[in-house]
Amino acid sequence: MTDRLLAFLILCLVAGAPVGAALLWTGNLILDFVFFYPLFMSGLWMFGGLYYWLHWERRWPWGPGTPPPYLPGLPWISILIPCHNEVQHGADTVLSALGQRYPRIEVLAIDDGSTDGTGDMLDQLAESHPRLRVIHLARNQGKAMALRMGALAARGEYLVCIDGDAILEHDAAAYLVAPMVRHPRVGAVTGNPRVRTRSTLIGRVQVGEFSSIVGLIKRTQRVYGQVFTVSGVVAAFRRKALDRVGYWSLDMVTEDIDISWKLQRDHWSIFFEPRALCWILMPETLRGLWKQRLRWAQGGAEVFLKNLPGIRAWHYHRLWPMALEYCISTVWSFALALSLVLWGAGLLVQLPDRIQVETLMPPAFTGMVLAVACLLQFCISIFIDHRYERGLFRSLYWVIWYPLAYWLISLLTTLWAFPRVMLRRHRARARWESPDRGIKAPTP
Amino acid sequence: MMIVKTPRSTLVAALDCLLTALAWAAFCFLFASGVQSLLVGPAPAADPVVSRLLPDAQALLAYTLVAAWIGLLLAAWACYNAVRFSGIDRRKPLGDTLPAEMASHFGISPMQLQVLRSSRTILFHHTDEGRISMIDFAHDADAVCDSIQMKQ
Repeated sequence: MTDRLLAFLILCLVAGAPVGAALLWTGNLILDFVFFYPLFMSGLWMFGGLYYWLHWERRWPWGPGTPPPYLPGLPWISILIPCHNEVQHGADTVLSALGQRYPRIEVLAIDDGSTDGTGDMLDQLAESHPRLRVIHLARNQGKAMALRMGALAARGEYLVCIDGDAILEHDAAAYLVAPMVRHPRVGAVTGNPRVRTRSTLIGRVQVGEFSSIVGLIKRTQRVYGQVFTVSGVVAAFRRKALDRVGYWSLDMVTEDIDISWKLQRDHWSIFFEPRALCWILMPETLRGLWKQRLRWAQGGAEVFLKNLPGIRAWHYHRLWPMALEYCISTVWSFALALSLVLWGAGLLVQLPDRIQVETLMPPAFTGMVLAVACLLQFCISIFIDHRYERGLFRSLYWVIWYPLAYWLISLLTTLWAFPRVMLRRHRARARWESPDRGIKAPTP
Repeated sequence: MMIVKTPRSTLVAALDCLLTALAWAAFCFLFASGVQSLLVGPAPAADPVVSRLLPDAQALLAYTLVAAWIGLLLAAWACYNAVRFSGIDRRKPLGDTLPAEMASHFGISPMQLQVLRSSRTILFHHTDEGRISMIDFAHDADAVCDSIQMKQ
């Protein structure tokens, strides 16, 4: 009951803050916040990305001929691949995992109650690949359970987890595990996902988004010292850390955000390793993108609500800025929605002057600064990332959609998911839904 | 091989290019009108906070200073951490996870865990609550037993 009251209170505060500010001051103040918040976040991400690159990344060897990282003691690495209805892409994923140059690996493919023949496909692969082990779950149990069963059966202390449709580069597992071997405080390492699906505008925009947003955010958060989430599609974990925090939760819709917070609440560090490349399939339709981002938004809200009461103590003060940033982003969504409502209402009826929003276009000067900030962010991200993907600059043409797509999708998914999570009675077990993995070619 | 480009109709591809060109045009318009506002005179009154208090050049300086302040704050924090924890292992090595710890976490015995880890093909059955009800090794030719029934 207390939890539900707290959730309702949070919802009232987050949704009510922009309304209160508009009534106390002016509607234009809300509009200023709507324009300036993305601007300052963009500045922060650019600075964080550049700092990370200058301080660490530029010194790291990379390129053809670079030997795989040396892992002292040659520890066993277990690569876990949870699969649900992955008959189309699963074999490529497993073979890329088996193709790691690091010698001491085992691959565990976990068939999570698939109905499309994934289990048989994995069994056949295992016959010809001795390092592949196959775990079947009699019924679909969800990704978190699949990972838990994989971790239980795995022999290694280091677990690399990738999705059933992702392709690992041949040194990715070693790059992911190296920081954990060197630093006892590192509990997890998140990799560098690269988008494969580039047929539609939506696919191409995400190429830029993963560089401009995801890459820069991860680097900035690493400079700060805490990471909001590991990438669920490619991350490595220390088993000891997972064991201390109780492994992946079964009732969280985004198990990756949840495990990141659980680990950091237990004071484990999470590193970002941009050289751990993993090629991923992303939605290429608006519907697929919406479903995916809605799940992310819902997951973020669930984790925020779950952790907020627990991180009040000073002991967890390093997590406060992460929670605050999430909170401000959510307030931003409600502020933009309120601006839209006030602007729309102003067209129909005469509103009091102080809450009147005359135009939704940014004032010319602010617009120019926003445009320059966007362009600068694209250029910096491509400058940092191009060594991992030659020809990345070609995506610059499509990346112009990113500010609109990113902030608009962020707005709509937050408005939809946040109240739903806050007003929900119980969290159910999270299970798989087959995502959109790119469009199909028309049949001739 | 890594990049997936599914063939699409020329018309749809051209539409994507055209829409993106229009987006760039809007971007250039925003930029140009900003430059014009700088050259022609004070910023329009639509932005009361900035335009009322500061002329454009000063506003630009204010943006830059705020951005620099945010950046410096982040850099200072990173430097503080680097200095404070330099040469210190913030966490002592905890060693590998013991099989007994691992087994107890999942409600199985260390012996059962050993069997599990030596098997190449495993089938898990779960209860509705998510507990393991049975572990089946029937498909594994080298397994030391056919199945493990768990106590509920």
